[in-house]
Amino acid sequence: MRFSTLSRRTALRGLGASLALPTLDAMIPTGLRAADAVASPLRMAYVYLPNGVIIPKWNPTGEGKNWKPGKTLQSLEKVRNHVQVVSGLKQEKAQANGDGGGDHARATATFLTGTQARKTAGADIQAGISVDQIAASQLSGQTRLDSLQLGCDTVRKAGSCDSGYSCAYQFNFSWKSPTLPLAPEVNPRLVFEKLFGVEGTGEDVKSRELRMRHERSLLDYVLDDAKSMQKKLGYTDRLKIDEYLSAIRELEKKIESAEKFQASLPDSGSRPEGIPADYREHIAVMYDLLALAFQTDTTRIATFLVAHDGSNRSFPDIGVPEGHHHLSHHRRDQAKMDKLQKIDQFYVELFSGFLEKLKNTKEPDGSSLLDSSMIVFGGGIGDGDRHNHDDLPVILAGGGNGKLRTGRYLKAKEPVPMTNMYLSLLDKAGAKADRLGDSTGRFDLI
Amino acid sequence: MDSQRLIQIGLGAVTLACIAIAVSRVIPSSESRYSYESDIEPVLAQYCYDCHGEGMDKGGIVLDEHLSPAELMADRRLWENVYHNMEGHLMPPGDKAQPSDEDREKMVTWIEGEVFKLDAENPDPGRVTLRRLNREEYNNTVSDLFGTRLTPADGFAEDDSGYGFDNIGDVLSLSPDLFERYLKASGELLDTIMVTRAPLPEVIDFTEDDFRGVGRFGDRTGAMSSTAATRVKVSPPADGEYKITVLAGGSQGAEFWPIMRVEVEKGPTKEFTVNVPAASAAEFSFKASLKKGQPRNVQMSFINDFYDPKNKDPNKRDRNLWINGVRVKGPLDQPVPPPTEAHRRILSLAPEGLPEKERSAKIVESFAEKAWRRPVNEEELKRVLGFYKQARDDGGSFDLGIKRSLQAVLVSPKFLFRGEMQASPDNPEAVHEIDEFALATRLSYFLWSTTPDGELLAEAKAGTLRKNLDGQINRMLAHPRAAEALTKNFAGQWLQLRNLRLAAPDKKTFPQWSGDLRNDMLEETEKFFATIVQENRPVLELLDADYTWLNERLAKFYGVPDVKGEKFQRVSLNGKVREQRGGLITHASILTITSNPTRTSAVNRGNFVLDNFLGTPPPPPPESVDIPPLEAAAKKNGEKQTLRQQLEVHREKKICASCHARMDPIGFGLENFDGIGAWRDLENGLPLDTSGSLYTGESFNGPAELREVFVEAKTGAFVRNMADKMLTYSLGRGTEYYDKPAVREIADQTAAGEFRFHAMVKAVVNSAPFQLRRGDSAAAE
Repeated sequence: MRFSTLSRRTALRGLGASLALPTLDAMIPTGLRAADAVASPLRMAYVYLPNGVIIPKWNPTGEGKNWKPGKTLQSLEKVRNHVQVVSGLKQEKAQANGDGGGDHARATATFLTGTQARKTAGADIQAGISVDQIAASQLSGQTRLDSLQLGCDTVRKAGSCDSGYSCAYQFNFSWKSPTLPLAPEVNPRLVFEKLFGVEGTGEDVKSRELRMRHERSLLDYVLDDAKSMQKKLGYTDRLKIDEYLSAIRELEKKIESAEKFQASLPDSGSRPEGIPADYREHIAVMYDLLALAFQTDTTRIATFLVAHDGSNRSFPDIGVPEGHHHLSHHRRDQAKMDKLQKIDQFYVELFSGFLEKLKNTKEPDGSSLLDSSMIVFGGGIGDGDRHNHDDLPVILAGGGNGKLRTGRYLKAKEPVPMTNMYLSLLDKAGAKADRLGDSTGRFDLI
Repeated sequence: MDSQRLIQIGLGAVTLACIAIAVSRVIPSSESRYSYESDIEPVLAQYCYDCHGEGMDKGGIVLDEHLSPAELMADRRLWENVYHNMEGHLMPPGDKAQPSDEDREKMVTWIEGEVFKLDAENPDPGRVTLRRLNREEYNNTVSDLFGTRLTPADGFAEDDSGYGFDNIGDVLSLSPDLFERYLKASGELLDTIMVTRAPLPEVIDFTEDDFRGVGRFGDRTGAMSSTAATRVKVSPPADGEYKITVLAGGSQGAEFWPIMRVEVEKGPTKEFTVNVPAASAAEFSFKASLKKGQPRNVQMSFINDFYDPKNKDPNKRDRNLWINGVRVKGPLDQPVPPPTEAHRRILSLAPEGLPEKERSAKIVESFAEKAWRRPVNEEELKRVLGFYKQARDDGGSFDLGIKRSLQAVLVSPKFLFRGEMQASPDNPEAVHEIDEFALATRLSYFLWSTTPDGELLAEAKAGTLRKNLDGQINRMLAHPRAAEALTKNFAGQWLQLRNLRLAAPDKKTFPQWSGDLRNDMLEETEKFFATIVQENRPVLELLDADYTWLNERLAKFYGVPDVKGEKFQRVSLNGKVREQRGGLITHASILTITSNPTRTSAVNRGNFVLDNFLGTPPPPPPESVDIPPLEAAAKKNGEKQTLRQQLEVHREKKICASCHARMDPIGFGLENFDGIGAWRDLENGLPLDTSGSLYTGESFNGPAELREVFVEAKTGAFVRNMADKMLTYSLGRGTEYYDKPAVREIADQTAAGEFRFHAMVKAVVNSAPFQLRRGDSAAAE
């Protein structure tokens, strides 16, 4: 027996230091994984890559199993047997389709939803339910958290966003409903707290019971307040109160889950202090937290908006002082394209590091965390200069518990809606859906 | 140019444009002053049909092909377009014949009356969707409710923005995650303010890594197979009694278990018989008094080593001791600390002598009234007091009961949302004055970004707020909070100053760039805007002014002499510097956020001015244009080119010129300012050509003349645009076509008030959209 709760003193380590993953045995809450004792649960994640890529440097050479990564995807070589580079996917709803400018807003908004984002600077924003939320609502209640939304855009742009589209479309990735985006959490410390709670305060059982009862009374009370308020409001305002009511219901569900699944604080993990100043470190910590969340089975569904489409971040550390978005309109200028390739490579390298970590994390049944995951990494724009939304850069990583055919370069013969692939992924996760956005069927070649 | 002159010019320019408006407003709405056939169509035919009629459809705009007059009138989008272009003098293009100002007025008035069907007697005030408090507002509100400076909303996700602002009702959503945060934040906030239980003892855990001293084999694992000792160093966080627990196990030697002696330096010593096997180590505890700031060693020794290899029972041959960990917990039994200032303030909401039941009701009612920004009825109060009652029934203290009720108040939608109740909320024809409490709330969040204070609430309760509105506005604007909130939240977003955080100028290109300079730039513009608010200066000074705020570093950067020290001071601009600088467009902050990391962007700067100053942003670029790379033009015939020369291609192609002719010249006029706003006479050794002309024809050369053009010819557009932005910010919704008369009215009143800031604020507060609301039409759609 060891003291298992971290005290303030022993838990504080350096800023954003890469988290040490705890050994798995200490993590499994007893009795919890009984149902899944045979196979590891399936995890899914979606990670975003903004502003398109330099396609010729992205695409591998060779075909099928004999694919060879180019410079941009070189870092994937270490996990080559666990990934599929997929090309030929499209997002038609990210095109203007009569709405004029705004490809960046649309690219982010459609990536997980496949719907045409309503062009509005404010009133009545509307996209669609995202694939991760379809899974989350169907598979709800199996883990402490139904899903997790991560991001690294610490500062949102002021003023107006892309061409008359509300900033909500660019800075959110998951959509719980067509009108309710789920904001990504960008502070590693707050992500940690969301996953594992604030450290133990030495609360005894009686005070905990009282506190939980108080929380439930509070929820009942605000439910009544909201309903009575709603009666006196107009239509649009009633919809706002509906958001509030849904939020209450979600929290009630979550409290139930929390009682069913105790938060399993990692034994030797360190609690992040806040947002690292270095961008690379920030992204790395987020990937670490995602791995930790999956490994501790705190959640099985996550999205990570690494950077919003249209991001104009500069990368002086890799020799690119210009803004990403600005560069992405390269107009076939070689110097610009070379710099862009470096940025593409930067993002891929961090992703590869994440996959490696998953690969090296063992599950009780002997497989690795990567084997039981299905992770989509890609962007809603193909070539940043053309702003096209087909031929999208996509990597599908993980074995999906044997349901994905890994280790190859998969080229769709005809352009395929990305939403078709999502339906197939949902099937594998046990969260069937008939349609998603502009889907026309499934893409079961994966 | 001094303010007097500014005002004169501005007034002159606006008056001319205003004459027609003033005249038309007097005419009752039932009579239409202008008719399509005799007044409007001839203007269209003469100036517009060349491109937009008689078979022509430039830009997809056709003015004469509707099947019926009814259809023509119903095409609101078309007429919004015409309106926008007529009013902004964007159409006809500068090189074509121009209709007179009277013609433009006719068009605008006719559209408002006949197409938009706007009735000056019965304005459509629109409606604002239920707004939840955004992060800034939440922080300010709880700070003011409790008298603290705590900022719990910093942990909430950033708010989505629309129409350029993050306080737009339609856009502010409430996700399950945010709701959970509200719950947590309110609980933690109240726990911090009203401490109702003794502080929990701190727990300090020591593991193997912390052990010092020697085990049998000279390592620190806490395993001792022979007489040895190991220790940990404890730094007590406070004076008091502590519980010290050692997790230990052992193995037997002969019939006896190991004895562990635990000594606290300058404290007690205890001996324990560790009579459990190491695999199931147990806790051995005792208490000791420790003092803050006096670190003590706690040493554990194994004092009865034993080894008999010949013992019959192998489990009794070797007596050893294992120490797995040490935990120090305390101080125990601390008293409940005395109440904080904020805590006392809450309790003082009711007189002390009252019996408990009444006292609790009074406290909670007073607080709820402030928090919900309106009086609380009996039923509501009873339900909130249910939490007090529950806590008391469970054996909790009076203060705990109050705390529970207050938390309920803070998570209720009545707190989180700014509701504006009206009768017949679903009837779009029903127009109501917002009640006094809603008015107080709108006013307070507009000017101070926080909840209405005691005085505003008192006026609302007495029903005298509307009567004393002017006085209250004066009071609020005089308070420093107004300048602070409006600068940070209104100017910060309207002028996109918040983007300065994101700016990343390349250090190699701009070695002067630094974090300090960034902060300085921001402070200059913030202090400048704050001055306009506090001193009620004419808003035209934003376009050009003979003063600014500088500290030594920024002054050096600008080349302004005789400014010393880190502190910011108001500085007059004279001589050469005055030629260069004056007004927002020459502030380094704005010049930096409109640049790229390695160079200026004439297009961005032009776009910024068109969008944020003049309200006439160009449409987005066409989708299928083949645009050659900028840097390809960097050298022509082997010679280096300036940015302007590189952008020549914008003029060569007509499809590009139509929009770039609007943006680029403004940027060229500012090319003397490099990518971080420093003055330069040359660009990479090449002379600069800073001449140009606005789309509407006015020409200039250099920033001084550009500013003069703004002041002489563009004040109308500037004031109208600023009014539009301010109305948007104050209402929390974007402006629609039916707001146009209100926006113009605000602009007119501002002009009549010498363009002073307070005049604009008052005009906004007195406008129809601010004072009234109508029912929702959405249910019918």
